[in-house]
Amino acid sequence: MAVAVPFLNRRRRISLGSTRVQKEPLGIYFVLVPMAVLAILPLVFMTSQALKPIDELLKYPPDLVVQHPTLLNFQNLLIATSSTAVPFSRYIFNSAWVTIVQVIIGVLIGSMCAYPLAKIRVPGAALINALIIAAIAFPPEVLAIPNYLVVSSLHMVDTYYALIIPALGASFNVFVMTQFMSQIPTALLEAAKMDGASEWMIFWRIVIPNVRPAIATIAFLSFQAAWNSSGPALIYVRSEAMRTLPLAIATLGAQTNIATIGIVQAAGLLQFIPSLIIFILSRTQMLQALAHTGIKG
Amino acid sequence: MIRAPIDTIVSRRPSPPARSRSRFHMSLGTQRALQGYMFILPWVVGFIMFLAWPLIRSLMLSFNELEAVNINNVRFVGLDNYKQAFFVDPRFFPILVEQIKQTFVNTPAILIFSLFVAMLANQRLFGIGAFRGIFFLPVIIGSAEVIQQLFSEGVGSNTFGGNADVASFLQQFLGPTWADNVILVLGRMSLVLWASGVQILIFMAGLKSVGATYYEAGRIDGATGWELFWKITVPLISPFVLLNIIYTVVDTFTNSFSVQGVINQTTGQFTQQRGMTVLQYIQQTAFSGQFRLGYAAALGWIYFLIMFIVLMLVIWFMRNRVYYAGEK
Repeated sequence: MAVAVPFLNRRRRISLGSTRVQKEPLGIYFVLVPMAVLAILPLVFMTSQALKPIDELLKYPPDLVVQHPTLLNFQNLLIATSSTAVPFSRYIFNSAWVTIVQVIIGVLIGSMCAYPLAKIRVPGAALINALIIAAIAFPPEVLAIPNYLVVSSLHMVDTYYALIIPALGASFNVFVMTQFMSQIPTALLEAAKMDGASEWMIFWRIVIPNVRPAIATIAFLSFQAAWNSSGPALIYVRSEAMRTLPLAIATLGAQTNIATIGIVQAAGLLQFIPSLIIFILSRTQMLQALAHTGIKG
Repeated sequence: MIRAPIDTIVSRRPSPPARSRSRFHMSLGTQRALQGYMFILPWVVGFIMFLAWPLIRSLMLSFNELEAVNINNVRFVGLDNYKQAFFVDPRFFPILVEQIKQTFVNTPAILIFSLFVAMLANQRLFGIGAFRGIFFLPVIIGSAEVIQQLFSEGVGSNTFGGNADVASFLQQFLGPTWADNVILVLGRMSLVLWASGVQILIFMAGLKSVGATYYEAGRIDGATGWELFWKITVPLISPFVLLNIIYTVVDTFTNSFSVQGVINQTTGQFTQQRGMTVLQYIQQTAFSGQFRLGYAAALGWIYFLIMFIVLMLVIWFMRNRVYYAGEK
């Protein structure tokens, strides 16, 4: 299962007649550990920011690790959230609902669109592929105002629809799925066709199980985008009760109160935890070996 | 003009036997195509409503002058906005050039690095699962703006100085000039690492899709690790290389990588700062100061055209180098 890494794997070569015992290549750890330390730095910084008292937060340049950790920021967050006009749990619910619907339907639309592009020869596929690239290339910030006009003409402003629907057709999802689906052996699909399976059945029973790692990947990336972005909410939401969590936190941070610096850090850390949980859950799916399906391209 | 390069690589061309079939099979083909369109339809509806239509509106807007939020106050100015971007505006063009430069420098670095890490992380080693998770941490945090903060507060002095005081150690050891350069390189390396999470993930999934039998067969035939890598791994993961190039180009173009070493004049402290991105500049133009929506739309279209051309060049360049295993 291990993929050949030049340099590191030379010992694995089978020498004539005898099989050598493979040594654990310790050298790899000398590369992996420093990189892991570097990768973990942002988390360390983020955690200690949340635990810093005000005077340390105001220090420039900031210390990487907190000197005198305190839970004061979390206490202040609790006070601030319990005094909002709308209960804070409402913001969490809004975010969770928008995120869940967006991930499920978005992944479905993306996978459905990718299947014919990768595996059925539809006329005009080249044009659709070009459109997908164009959609990936276009900066969403520039579309904010025209998009608002569309959403308001559909009377969707200040509803969940405004937060969910415009984000559903994410083109990057389609592109990822197309690349992964193209690696499914066509023979496998033709065999199912011979047995009388419809396209819909092939899609659900053969294509989808074969691209589970890709689905987990785009599901996670969609989750990240939906859970963390305050942009759409900022544009489309009018009423207090429709605010999402990132927007609510941003609003808390905008208050001119010295305690808010700490509150934002604490809230940011709490907002990160669901992402971490979702990542751990989806990770096993993402890294699942396709080779286990029994078909090898 | 746009269709030609994409046509050659992304779409699957019918194989010769399919084309020589009789009329009866053609109608079956049409039937299949119709079913295929049903799968694509939901995406197309979304695309037209929330991308194509707004896109056309913003194109029209880019030929007009519109400064207040008052939509009625529109004046047609033709190509003036575009001319202004390149010949009048002192800030836009340097930012754009810097960003393009950064993209060309960083994309190969991130790609090679993430492939390397993905291959290491795919080894069967003690505790490798933990490493896989850790390399992805920056992506999970990334959108929470922490990395942004690390930058705005000076990544060099902060990350490698701070409590550990690596910076001052290096300064004593190597002298100030060398130490600053080493810190700059370390800062850049951490940037590459922090930007590689998604690519590592995609490469790991791609590497997992390569059947172990290929490697076994290769080894039995006496291939070296180097040969296995170039003859088996690289062709079989080429679709993911394309995917990662596209992702990285877009990502590096939207997130600034231009790290400038800044020496604070009063304290003499060495820090690194992130330059402004084209997108930030566009946003600033549109949503602050004079709210110059028309000009911002023109900048957006310039950005889009450059990005689109770059992506098309990538696809054109990769068209004969991508190998789709499922096609056989």
